[in-house]
Amino acid sequence: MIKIENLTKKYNRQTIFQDFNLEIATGEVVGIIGPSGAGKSTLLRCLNLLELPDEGKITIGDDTYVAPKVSVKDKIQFRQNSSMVFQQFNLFRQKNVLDNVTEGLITVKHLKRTEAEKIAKDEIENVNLTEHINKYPSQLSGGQKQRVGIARALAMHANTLLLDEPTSALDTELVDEVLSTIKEVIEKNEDQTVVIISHELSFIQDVATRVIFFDDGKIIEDGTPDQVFNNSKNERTKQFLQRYNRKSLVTK
Amino acid sequence: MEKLIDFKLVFTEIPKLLEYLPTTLLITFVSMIIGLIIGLLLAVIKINKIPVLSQIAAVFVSFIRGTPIIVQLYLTYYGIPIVLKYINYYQHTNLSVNAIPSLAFVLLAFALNESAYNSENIRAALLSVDKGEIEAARSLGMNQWQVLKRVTIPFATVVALPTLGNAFIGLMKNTSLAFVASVVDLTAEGQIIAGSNYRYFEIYLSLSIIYWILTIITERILKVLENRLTIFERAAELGLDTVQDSRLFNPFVRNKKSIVSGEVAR
Repeated sequence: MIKIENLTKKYNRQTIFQDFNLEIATGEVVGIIGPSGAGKSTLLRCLNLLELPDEGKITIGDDTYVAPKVSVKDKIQFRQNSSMVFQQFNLFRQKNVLDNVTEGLITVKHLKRTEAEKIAKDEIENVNLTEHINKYPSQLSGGQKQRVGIARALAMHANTLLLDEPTSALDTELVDEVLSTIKEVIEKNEDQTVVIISHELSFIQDVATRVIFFDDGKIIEDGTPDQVFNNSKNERTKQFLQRYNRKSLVTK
Repeated sequence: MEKLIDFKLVFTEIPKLLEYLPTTLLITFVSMIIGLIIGLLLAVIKINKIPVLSQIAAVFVSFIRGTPIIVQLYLTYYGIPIVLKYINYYQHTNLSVNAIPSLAFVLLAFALNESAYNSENIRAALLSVDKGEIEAARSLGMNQWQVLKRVTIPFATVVALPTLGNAFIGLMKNTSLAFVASVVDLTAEGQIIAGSNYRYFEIYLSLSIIYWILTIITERILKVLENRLTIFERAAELGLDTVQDSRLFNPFVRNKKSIVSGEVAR
């Protein structure tokens, strides 16, 4: 469960969002769509405390964070509730695939190496990279790298999975392999709450149970994929969808 | 006519000189390690722009870089007794300069000198670490110390290794100045021997051979280290699927690709 209450985030004097409220139930797969620069990433990063909000409250699972001050211990505790998949993969380049996935388990969760490797191998299997388990990131394609990123996030067994434009940095032909991995992972872990930011609208329509159109730091539209994509009530949503549909026609 | 150059002597004196190799290596290693630690501290102070401390650090680095090492050695050698006298006078203690081995003066001077030079290298290396990796580590729940230990320092080490390696080699040769603080190292012993047999040229030839070989060995070791530390970025080029064969890290083994295709490949 995620509950965001009256959240405000500013950069210098620019307000990214103000008094933002959102509730996400356990097991929901929420797709956040919207134009670039709308504050989607900032919102997601606030959930993981990579960005600290200026005001407001976030509750994930059993932990509540009240902005802005937080002790190091509480911050680390709060972060255990979610794990993050990054646009630029952000793999540890000096570690092979297996060690990338075991890193958090050993360093943060203090598991024994053998236990950590067992969990990691399962997750690597889930993203179909078992044969690449000893390779370094420099030996992998972008799609494979992102699948490692997903395995690394899943291995932490956090109750919430956050994906920040997971395919935006990929070449077009590699997007599908990552999207189908994400889909498999979502279908396999039904209890896991997922928040995904993506410009792959047809993918969002396919996997999300709830879609939020986000612009200017506000929720413009919030509903089932069918409501938002096929019966949107708001002009801005319609315009955005039209523009993106046209774009995807051009690229495909 | 007496022999102009006694070539035999060049080699026969080497064992006697080598008795003082441990002193040279001790000064080199200890000052390097202390220099790295203080250098890392200075770098962190500078990166975080800690007020007052970063200004002091900047003046310190500028001073060390702006004065010759031999002058710095003399400053420590004559400065510490003055500091001790000052402390004795005001704290009513009875510290004696003679209780401090002269080696300590040398170690202090070299360590401070190294720290100033290393701090800039370390700073640049720390700044070259990918912000994304640091972010990933933080998002997994690592604390600052864990991020530093698991991500920042390992990568910074790879970046800084060549320059720090050069600094190490430079330091090893600079330790020959230790005699100014009356520490007997390789060079000082050479001077003592030459002073008794007047074969200065031969002794300095012996010393050159020793320092030269030390440098070559150090370069080799650094190369092995570098190969080992950069395997993550060369793995694709080496055609590695798994990294298991230690011969891959051995710079004396040529044609690593054959090892890879023969034994390591899937």
